[in-house]
Amino acid sequence: MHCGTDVLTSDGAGPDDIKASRPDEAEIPMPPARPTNPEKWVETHGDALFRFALMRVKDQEIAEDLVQETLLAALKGREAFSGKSSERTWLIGILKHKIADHFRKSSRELAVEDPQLYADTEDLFDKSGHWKVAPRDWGGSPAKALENKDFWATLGNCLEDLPDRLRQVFTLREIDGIDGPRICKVLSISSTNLWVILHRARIQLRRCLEINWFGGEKESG
Amino acid sequence: MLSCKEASMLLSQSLDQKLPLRKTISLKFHLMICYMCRRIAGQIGFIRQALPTFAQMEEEVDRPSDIRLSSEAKARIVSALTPP
Repeated sequence: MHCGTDVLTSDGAGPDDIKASRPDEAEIPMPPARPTNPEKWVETHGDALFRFALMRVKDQEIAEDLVQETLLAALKGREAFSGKSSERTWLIGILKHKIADHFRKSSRELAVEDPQLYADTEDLFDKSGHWKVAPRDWGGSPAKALENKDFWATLGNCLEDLPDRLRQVFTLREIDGIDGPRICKVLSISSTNLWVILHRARIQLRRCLEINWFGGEKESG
Repeated sequence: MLSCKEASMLLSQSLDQKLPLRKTISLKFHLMICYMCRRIAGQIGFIRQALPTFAQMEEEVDRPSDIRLSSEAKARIVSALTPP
């Protein structure tokens, strides 16, 4: 069910747009629909690229570096931009490769904090393991939320509110579809800690949506 | 008999890997008798289903967010992009 580019196993070749624009197809690639203007990139795409990176790496500094590396690579490769995809998609494609490179070569990601931190579930369960706050009914068709663009903003904010490590592991697993063993390997965490982190992230995200989105809904439905 | 804490952990784990049969059975049994964990199951399943669309929108649409590049970082990147 996951279909995103695997940011951890990419082969490091150029972005798809560059590959796709090689003139070995019968069709000669069209010049960019609009000429790309590097001076505007930071203003137009900087924040989105930064957010995309920050969801997947440990800290802000690394995310900033990745944005810079991405735009530098884009500057070099901009003749190859086919204009078939949007400029944003093209830049995100390059960023995915930069993130993959980062994971491949870096020991900067090594966990510094103790993931056992998240194993403490006193805030969620009482001593006998019962829910402290009973989960509410989200109403008959929570799927209706998917049609509302404010729901997506709420989901985004809830993801951003997760503690760094939870957000990172959860994003790699659920959005990029990377399997557990691979995440353990690149982030140097044990599988026990992986389960603890994913469990905590899911429960916290669920709670955040309940408070900020489904909270207004009635118990019935 | 599983507690809700154990059951929700197994529930989460079952989204990532196949559980051993014995654990699957204990989990199913718990879900049969616990409406709270049934809700949790439905809700974390719902979140999982929503995420691919979210990921796609993240790549295409700007959304309001407090997470932004600092103006220092922007200036630094702009100057890196500008030939001397």
